Amino acid sequence: MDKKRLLKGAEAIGEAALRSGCTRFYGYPVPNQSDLMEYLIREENEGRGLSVFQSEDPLSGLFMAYGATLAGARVLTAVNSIDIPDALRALSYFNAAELPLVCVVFTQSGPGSGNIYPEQSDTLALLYGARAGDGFAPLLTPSTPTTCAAATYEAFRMAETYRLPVILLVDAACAQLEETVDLSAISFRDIPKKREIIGGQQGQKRVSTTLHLDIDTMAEKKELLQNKKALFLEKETGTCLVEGEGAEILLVAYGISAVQAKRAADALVADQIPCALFQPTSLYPFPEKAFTESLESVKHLYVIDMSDGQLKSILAPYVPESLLTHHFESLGGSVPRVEDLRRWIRQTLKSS
Amino acid sequence: MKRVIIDQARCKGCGLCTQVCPRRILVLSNMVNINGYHPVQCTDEDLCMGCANCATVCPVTAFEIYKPMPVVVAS
Amino acid sequence: MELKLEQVAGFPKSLSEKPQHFCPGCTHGVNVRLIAEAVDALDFPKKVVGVCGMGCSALLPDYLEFDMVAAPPGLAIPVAEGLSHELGEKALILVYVGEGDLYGRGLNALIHAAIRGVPLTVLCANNLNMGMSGGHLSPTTLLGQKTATTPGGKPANPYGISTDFIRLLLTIPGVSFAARFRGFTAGEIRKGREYILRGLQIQKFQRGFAFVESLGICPTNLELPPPEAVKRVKTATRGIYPSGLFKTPEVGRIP
Repeated sequence: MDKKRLLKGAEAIGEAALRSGCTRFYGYPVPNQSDLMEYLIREENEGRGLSVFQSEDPLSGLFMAYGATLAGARVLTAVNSIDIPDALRALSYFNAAELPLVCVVFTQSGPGSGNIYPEQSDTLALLYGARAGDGFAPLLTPSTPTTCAAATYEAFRMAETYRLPVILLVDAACAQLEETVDLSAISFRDIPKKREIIGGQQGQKRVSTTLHLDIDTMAEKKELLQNKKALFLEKETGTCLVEGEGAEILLVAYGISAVQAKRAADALVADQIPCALFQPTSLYPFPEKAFTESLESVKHLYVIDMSDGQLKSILAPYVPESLLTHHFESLGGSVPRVEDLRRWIRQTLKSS
Repeated sequence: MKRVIIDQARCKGCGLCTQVCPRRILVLSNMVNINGYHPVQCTDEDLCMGCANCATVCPVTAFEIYKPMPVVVAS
Repeated sequence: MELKLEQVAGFPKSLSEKPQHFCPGCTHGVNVRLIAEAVDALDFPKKVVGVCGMGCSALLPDYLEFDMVAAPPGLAIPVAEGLSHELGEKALILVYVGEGDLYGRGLNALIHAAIRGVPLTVLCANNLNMGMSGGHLSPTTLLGQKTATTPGGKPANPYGISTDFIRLLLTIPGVSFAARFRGFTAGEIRKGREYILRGLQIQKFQRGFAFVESLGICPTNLELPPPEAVKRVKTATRGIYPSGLFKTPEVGRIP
């Protein structure tokens, strides 16, 4: 019987990965990622059938993951904000070779080295960066250790089912947040492996290449990938959490800002201001249907984000422009304070 | 039986083999193969001593060389 | 006395009959054949997995008849290392990369794999320039050699003088086998085949990192007919890139 355990967000990802049949982890010590790697090394020493390898640089780690996946491993890897370009390069190759990977991206403040405090300013870079060469990668955005664990299983399921790289976007606050996690509440079903491996059976030649010099072969390959994308978008419609219904005020946030938005919403409800919260837990695919449904009765939309309007531009295609006026940004590594959110919403309500 | 077999369709006419043949029996021919190269040809197979230098330096593996070996027959 | 004909040279089993894209006289073709011959000559049954880098070596999966992976530029060694983590003793892993890829953007990974003594057999095709990209300056380009990016000949300032990367690898204890051969003289090509075979054989017991460099010619980018290119490279590299067997596990490996 599973006991409830006190876990950090990063540790919950590690535990969930172990239960999803992950066999290898590649990483390089950077803030937040180290917590995940240290947890997995402790579990490796307990003999839980996972090997952890610390690579000499993040890019090498990502491509060791590529090699191991080719040979049949189920791999988890993690990078930090500053290594996103490396991760995107790897994602492009995983996409081309049709290999599964779960890549956790721990975001911190940027640009440049920035600081190690949370920010959500890399979301668009990942959302659009993963589409290099018309590739794609699901982008999951958990907000608490419990949702981190659930999202990790979901990421492995998607990765292995569609042979895709999946990004798990976790901000620094969520990675360090501790919570009692009830892992028995998440059903870790067996994820079947359906792929050919290199170095398998004797006597058969298997080739993995992402280079197709011939235009026709490349066009065929592209068509195959586009069909897969269409199938994926048909089957997976995105996930979200919606709190409260039929309110005129809707707060939209994800990641750690959603945790704060939830608390602000509760405070506002206590103040007799009915409001709802829409929290997308995947930004690709975006839960479009659920979002447009929850917009029906909304007169005031509040976007809470720890970046310079990135969530706003993600929402823009689904919202009439007149609604998209209130945007709360908290930059430089600070998490939005509940009291600030509450005051901001009350003030803007009064002035409108 | 032929002792020097050259895959003239595969040959790219680089001429490296003509430099390493100790008997100088390999020359680039005047004919043109399917890829537009002048393939190498052997002028006198009987002179070949089977050193396989040509096959060793050949970048396209166009040579098959057979060397006559004495067989002692028990009387 | 009767005479019986014995085959002394032929088409290796592991080599595909597909036509190769290499330019006439290119020593890549020799290296590919040597790999196929070495794999055929292995005296124990084991799966061989090849990994090739970017550049002219990227099309190797078409030419060799065993499992092949085409790696991104500069990342053949990490990909091979990942494969070796997962396959362990189940397979021999052979890496074939050009010098622009391996000594340039892949040098970090090469050095670290050597330090860790990863059981890989690495064959580096050193043809003194980045061939496929159009004959640009590479880490091993000779001083004064004309390339597409140094049309007046490679200057010592700012590009530095030619470096023998095997000497660099020899300082690393994890390297258990290191050798270089010239891929354009018949005698040394025969040695080269032995080096590659030896490099693969020591992997049978996971004995560490084996490194073989094949010094080659790129007649197209040297703008010389192949026989002339051979003469030029032979004299120009004398003393700079010496050939021979530098380290074997029997004498070289720190236990």
